[in-house]
Amino acid sequence: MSKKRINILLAGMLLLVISVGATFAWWTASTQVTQTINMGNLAIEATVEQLGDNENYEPGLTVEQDGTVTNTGTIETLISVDSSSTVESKGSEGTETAISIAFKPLGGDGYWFKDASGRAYVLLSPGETAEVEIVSSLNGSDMDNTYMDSTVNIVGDFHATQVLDGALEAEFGIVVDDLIDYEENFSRGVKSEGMKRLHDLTKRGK
Amino acid sequence: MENKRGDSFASLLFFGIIFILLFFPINHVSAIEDTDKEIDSMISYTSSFKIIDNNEPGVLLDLEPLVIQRTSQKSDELVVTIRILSENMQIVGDYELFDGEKNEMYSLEQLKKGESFKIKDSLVFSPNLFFLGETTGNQEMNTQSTITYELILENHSANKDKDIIVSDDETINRLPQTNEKLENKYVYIGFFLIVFVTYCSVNIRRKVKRS
Repeated sequence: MSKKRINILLAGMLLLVISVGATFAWWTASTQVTQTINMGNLAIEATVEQLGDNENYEPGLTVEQDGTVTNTGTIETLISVDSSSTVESKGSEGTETAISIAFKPLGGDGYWFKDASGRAYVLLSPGETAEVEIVSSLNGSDMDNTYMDSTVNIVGDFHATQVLDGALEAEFGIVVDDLIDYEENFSRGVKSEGMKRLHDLTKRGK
Repeated sequence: MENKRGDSFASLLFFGIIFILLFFPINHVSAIEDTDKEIDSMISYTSSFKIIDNNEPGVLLDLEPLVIQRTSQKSDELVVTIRILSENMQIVGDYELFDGEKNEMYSLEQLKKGESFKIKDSLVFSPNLFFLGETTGNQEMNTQSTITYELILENHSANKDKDIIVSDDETINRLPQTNEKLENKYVYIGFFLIVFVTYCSVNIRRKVKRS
């Protein structure tokens, strides 16, 4: 390697050293601080007593069963029930609109509410259990003779969601202001403990 | 003749590089180390946060504010760059900044890119963050997310040496002790001059002997 090349190389190194020096023109120091967030979970469990006698039912009758619903998650939840019942008739089976299901309070924990249509909801904190009566109606006006000798599978579909307006609207099509106490035995303008709790929970929402 | 010129040029380059290597980079590296130590004495900041448990989408996170307090007025201008590192795209919201005089709002997206702030006395960043309910599905249950604040402190002092390095007259004037880090640039210059003079004198002696 010629001396000229060596000189150019050395001059290049010199420039590099100077430029490296220039990047430290400001004195800096850095550190990191971390915030950890654990998400909760939403889960429920429901139990229903089986019927002792399940033969020879007819349109217009109702089926009452006792049961429980428990909040097994880690956050507050509002629960309601829908019907996913099916009817096996003449070889066909499908979801049946002639059977409707509702539930009502029997005891236990939770605050009960209903909307304008009369649909019931129960507010449960983590670990709480509500005792419920599940009422399944075999709607006479929707059941003609084709339902004779058919087998009805009554399926109660419990839904639970977060106690926030956005979640209630997405799951049940309601907002918190659509709800009233299940038992309306409060003076006008006085909020029940349950309604206060419900509104406090929805206020947490952004 | 050409060889002699080449030799003297190479010698000049050699000592030039030695000078820069000795003085500039080492001084800068030691300055950064010093500043790292100094960060604790110039500012204090929230060093840890309580863990937020059982969070749910749509609910404002109960997060503690990030507080940066200036504890030293030695520097002319202290600037902190805050960059938020969060991998979870469902976390949205903004921060309210109070600098001791006025409130300003900064979106999380802005702070993810990094924003610089002058610290007069203190900076308080109050987070208004939440998980977007519309996009946070059941798969997020029981998961853990983190928000990391990266703080980069810059000292924009007019006289950095005086301001950053903790030293009084006694410290500057006394000789360095054994194992003590050499922080004074004059020590390096002196060292360089001694090496340079020794080299020159040895070279002159050789030339005299040859002639």
